[in-house]
Amino acid sequence: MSLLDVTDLRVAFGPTTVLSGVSLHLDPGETLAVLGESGSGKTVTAQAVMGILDPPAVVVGGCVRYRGQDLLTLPERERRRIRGREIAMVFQDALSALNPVFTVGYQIGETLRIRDGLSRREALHRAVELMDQVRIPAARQRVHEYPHQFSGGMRQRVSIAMALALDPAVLIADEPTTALDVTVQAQILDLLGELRRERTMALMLITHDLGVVAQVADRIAVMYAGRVVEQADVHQLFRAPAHPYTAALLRGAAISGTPPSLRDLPSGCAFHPRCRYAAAVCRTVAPSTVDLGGRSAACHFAREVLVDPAAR
Amino acid sequence: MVRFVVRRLLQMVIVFFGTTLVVYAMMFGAQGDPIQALAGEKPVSAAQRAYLTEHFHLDHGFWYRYADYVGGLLRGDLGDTLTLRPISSVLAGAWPYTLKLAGLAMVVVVVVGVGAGVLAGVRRGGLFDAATLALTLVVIGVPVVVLGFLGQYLLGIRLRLFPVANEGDLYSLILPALLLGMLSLATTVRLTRTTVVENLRADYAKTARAKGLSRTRVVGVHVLRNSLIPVVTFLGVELGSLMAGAVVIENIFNIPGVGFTLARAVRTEDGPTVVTIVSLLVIVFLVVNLAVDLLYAVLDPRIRYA
Repeated sequence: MSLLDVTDLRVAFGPTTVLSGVSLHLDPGETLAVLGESGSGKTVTAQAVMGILDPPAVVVGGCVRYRGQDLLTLPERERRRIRGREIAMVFQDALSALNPVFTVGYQIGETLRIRDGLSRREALHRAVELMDQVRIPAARQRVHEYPHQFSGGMRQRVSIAMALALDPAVLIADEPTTALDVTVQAQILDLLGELRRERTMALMLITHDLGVVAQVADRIAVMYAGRVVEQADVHQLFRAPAHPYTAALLRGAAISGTPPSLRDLPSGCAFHPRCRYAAAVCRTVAPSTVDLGGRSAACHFAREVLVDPAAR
Repeated sequence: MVRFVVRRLLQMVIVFFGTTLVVYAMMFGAQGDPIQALAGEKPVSAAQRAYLTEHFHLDHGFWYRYADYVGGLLRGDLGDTLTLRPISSVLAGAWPYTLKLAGLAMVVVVVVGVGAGVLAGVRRGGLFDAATLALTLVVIGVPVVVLGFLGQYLLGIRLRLFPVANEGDLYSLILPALLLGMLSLATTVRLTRTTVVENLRADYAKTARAKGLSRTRVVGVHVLRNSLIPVVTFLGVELGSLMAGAVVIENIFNIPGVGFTLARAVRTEDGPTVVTIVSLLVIVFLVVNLAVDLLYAVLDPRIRYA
């Protein structure tokens, strides 16, 4: 059984549907990359799993099972118990994700004090340990500093330390390297990889960067217009994509046309106006997800794309 | 930090001389015959006139009198009123009232204003939010004079909840303080509400929720602490309007505070008293604003004064 199982998750933003049935799963200890361009629903998926969507965004259907328990039906109080302790999250921009008026030590140790009843001194001590674990130099001194006194990479390390405080089984990292310099990006990715191994934690890495995916992921879920269009092992996917969108991404060529507006999605398959394989059926019928044996794709022609040498 | 304070204090010296000069010049220019104004319709004997002229240097020019006055202030001598009472003893009797009044008003503003603002911000778009929006708009639109008389009439005379004038105790100051605080209160509610709404949407609030903290803690600790930064700044500046309001409210409720004394001194063309009180108010204003700036740095660690 998967650790985290998202089935047919639907989220609406008022009248606009932003997630139209997202399904993906995360196994213990693995790294799943959720890949997609901006607006494809990656962040909304992550926040829906965490249960921290801001209104007017609301979950309108589907379920999110963690160790077999549907989180969406839990009362808020119990849902809160899962947050941070079982599933934790790292955000894209660490500067705005950290509270500017509290020291990093306070923010890292906060959950330990509030939820585990540690004393101020114990929490601070633990915060220093966590900062050591995410390789922040001179942690003992820096624990008393404020977020703005850290560099971008160090700040992201602070928010990772904060997410790890309660030793979660799942870490969701929402574009954790997008706001950083290229050299620092690699360091943060390495760190996330190491931490995942050390703690046998499952990592859900949200990104729009194929390079990132290749570097750290075990499996990939590709999102397009609020759906997961392909899910596969990273080697399989790079060797032979089963969805035309993935194929286009891998070719690295610019995909013709623009990403669709969620307000006004194309009929049938949302990708059909930009698709080389589009046929009449694509314009009228939304494809269901096809099981391809250990991998899946939401395309009427998934089997054809899979064996098409031109798609590689 | 020390350099910042020293620089601000030096600026205050300049502001102090500037304001005393301006206020002194205005009183100087506005004065007809202060001695006759003091005596009213009664005749003033030549001896009295000669003594007062001598005592207040009325026969000297503007600069001489200004220098004499400021020299006295710097020696700690606040001078005498035209009725020859030391201004320091007049003020000693008046300050406690005004301090209590302004203090009470400030407590009302902070407790009710910030409280209601947070509540309205958290329940944005709800009934409470709509009600406070309407109410605060009305209050902001009404001048303090009208508000004062209206409050005195409704709460004091019709409902008899509060005394209509000062009775010397703290209870009789509650209604005036409420009305005095009302203006700042309305703005404080609006400002707090806006910053709370803004901060609730901030990424760090989302992080705090993702950490599994309760809503109470997210709002009460993370959001509130950030929302207070602009509110504190506003309250520091607002002290000026609180002082201006005190002049009006103290007169409506017959409270013998500093504002009351000031208004009487203006009426009786008591130049020395007016200038001294205004100068003191300026100093209070400057000191409070310096304190607010320092507090600002405590509330927001990103601000460091070099």
